[in-house]
Amino acid sequence: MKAAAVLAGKSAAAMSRLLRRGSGTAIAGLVGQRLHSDLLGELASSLPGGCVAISGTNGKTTTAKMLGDILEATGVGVVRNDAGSNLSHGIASSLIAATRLIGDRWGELGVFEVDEAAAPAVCEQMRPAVTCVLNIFRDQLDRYGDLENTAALLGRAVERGAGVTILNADDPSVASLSHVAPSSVRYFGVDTRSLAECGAEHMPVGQQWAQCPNCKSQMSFRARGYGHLGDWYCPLCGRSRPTVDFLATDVELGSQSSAFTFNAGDKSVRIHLPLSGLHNVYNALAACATAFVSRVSLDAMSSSLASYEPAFGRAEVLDVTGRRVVLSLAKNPTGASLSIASALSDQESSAIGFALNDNAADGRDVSWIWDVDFESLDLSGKHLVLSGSRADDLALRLKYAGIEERHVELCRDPANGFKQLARRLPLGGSAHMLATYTAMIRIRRAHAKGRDSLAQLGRQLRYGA
Amino acid sequence: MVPRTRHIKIAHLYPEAMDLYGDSGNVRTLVKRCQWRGLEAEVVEVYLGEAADLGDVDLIFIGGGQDSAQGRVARDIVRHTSMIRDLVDGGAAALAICGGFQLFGSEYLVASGATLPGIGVFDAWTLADRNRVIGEITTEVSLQLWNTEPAPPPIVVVGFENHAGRTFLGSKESPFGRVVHGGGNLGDGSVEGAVYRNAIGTYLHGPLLPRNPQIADHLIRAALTHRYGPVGPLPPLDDVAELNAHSAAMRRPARRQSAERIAFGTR
Repeated sequence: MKAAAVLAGKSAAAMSRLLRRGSGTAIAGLVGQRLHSDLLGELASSLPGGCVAISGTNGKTTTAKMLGDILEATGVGVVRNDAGSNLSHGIASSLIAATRLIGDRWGELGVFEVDEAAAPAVCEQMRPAVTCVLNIFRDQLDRYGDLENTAALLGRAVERGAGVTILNADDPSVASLSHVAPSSVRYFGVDTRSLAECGAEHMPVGQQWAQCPNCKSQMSFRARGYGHLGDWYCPLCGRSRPTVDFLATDVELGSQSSAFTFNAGDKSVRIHLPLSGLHNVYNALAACATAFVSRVSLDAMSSSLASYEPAFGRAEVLDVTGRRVVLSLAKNPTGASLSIASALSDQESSAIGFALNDNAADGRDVSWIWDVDFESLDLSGKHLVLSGSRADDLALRLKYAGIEERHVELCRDPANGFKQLARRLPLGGSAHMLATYTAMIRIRRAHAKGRDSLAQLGRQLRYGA
Repeated sequence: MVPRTRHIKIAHLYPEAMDLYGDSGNVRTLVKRCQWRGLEAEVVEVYLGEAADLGDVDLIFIGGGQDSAQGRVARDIVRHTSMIRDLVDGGAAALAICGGFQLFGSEYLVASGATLPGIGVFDAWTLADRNRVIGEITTEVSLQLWNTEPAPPPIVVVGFENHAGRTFLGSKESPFGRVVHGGGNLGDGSVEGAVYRNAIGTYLHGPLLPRNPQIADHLIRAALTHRYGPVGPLPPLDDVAELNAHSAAMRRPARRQSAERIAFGTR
């Protein structure tokens, strides 16, 4: 039955690709799970190393890619869902694609990013050997309801874990999930001194109020990184950040890179990362903590992360005829604020693009742009290109943030917004572009198409075809 | 003699607990639209458990919050109940969004079966339902300053609603708007929000005021009237960006339906 379901899934994916209906990323799981409801669980349990599930509102894709890359570099056969398909069908599809119908060696370990809403059901079937929760920020409230709802969903996922639970000690609502963890819990976090030093750069994002997960009163911070992440304590009930098992110390943030020392017990290693921002330090720290639990050597972590290449649309660098555009997914206030802060710290960057769509995958409610603290972000002197189905809402937001209209350009199609942005740059110049999910997909497609036609033009010129 | 700059005082209630969907954008909008007209807008923020002087406030704002936050606010706001009700009875402007609207009603029966008392500005009570009403909403609203002038022609208001509460209005209470597209108080597409004198309660966020600048100006004018007595219409502002965002929201429901049809292949 399992084999039949896998075969049916594989055929459906092949058909889908053949008919160009899609990339076939979810269809295999959809068909396979329809035929065999516990397919995900059975395939996952046949992996000798078990599965790692990574969830949270921000940084899932990057953390999962970092961990997958680290493990692959040590020779482990990793099954992963790197296409960003993080619902049950997408994960089942990745497992189906990796399964060989003849023979049994097909992968040793699964590394999956899991959507928060899908996490309880996925973890119920998958029984992950390692469950890692990154953070809980406001994200797509039209889908998940409020933050407490998101925390409850992740709690139900953690409960289903079959091994180690790795939690972000610096996020109070994530650290509190330890109460529902069935087995051992390990925490990762950034040391207080680094938080104090780096936090200042990220303070534009620090406007959010934080409440104690225990007594719900207003929380205080010995040092704050960004948003509600930091060395926290509750003055009223006394709950505070738990003791950190995996600590990042001596964090340095550059304009296009960052570095920190990863400490695990008495071992430590310096990690250099070709990504900027404290949020990426957190992602790498989570990846290292999870790799450590999977018995990877510290040197292997450091060498893999030094040459890390971003996942698609996550601070991904796109070349547009000799201009550099850094494309970042932004779908919630924290992510957007961090990406803008990264753009502003990149001295080579002279323009910023925003693409705001409001399809289901983007979040239909665009009110979150009012929670991005544009007032504290100094966008003066940057050329701004606004696009997407709700570009007008962005223009209005910027108007009330006091940003002058003469710096702002407006167009509907995100792909045109991307082109306009690149057109503004001198040869060798650089810009950042933030986009919601469907806008990001649209931009990448248009970019790939443009590159193909350019290459074709080049060939024609060279060979006179 | 140089005439003194006119000013209004805005109380932003519980910004630390009641700010879920960009609600603070409403306060930003009020302040900016005052500044652009040379009016001074002073904002006092009222926090949980802290002393606050609401004595000479002209405009009260409260946003929406998560359920647990709303419970804490419900316990704390009792201290200010009589002051807020006196202000509203005296014609002060108020805008209460989503959870704030529920608190400004008489009571809220939450999912656990408990009752959160409201402060009773509106004759309205709310029952938590299992299903949330989520989506774009368009309503038709008639903005009339209390006790002053005949009703102007209705305007079209756009917003986004996301609420589990079903709000029932008392027999004499007026709704804020008539639903053109969307759910509204009961999720049934009938009426939305409540109005009492110059106080507005509504489920519309997005936030409400920047995309519906007439409502912002209505509240500012009510606040000025509260402080200085009857004032004429406010000088108009360049609202092109506001109207563009308003139209963008208006286009959404229609476009979305056709997009969904295409997705299911029945072009």
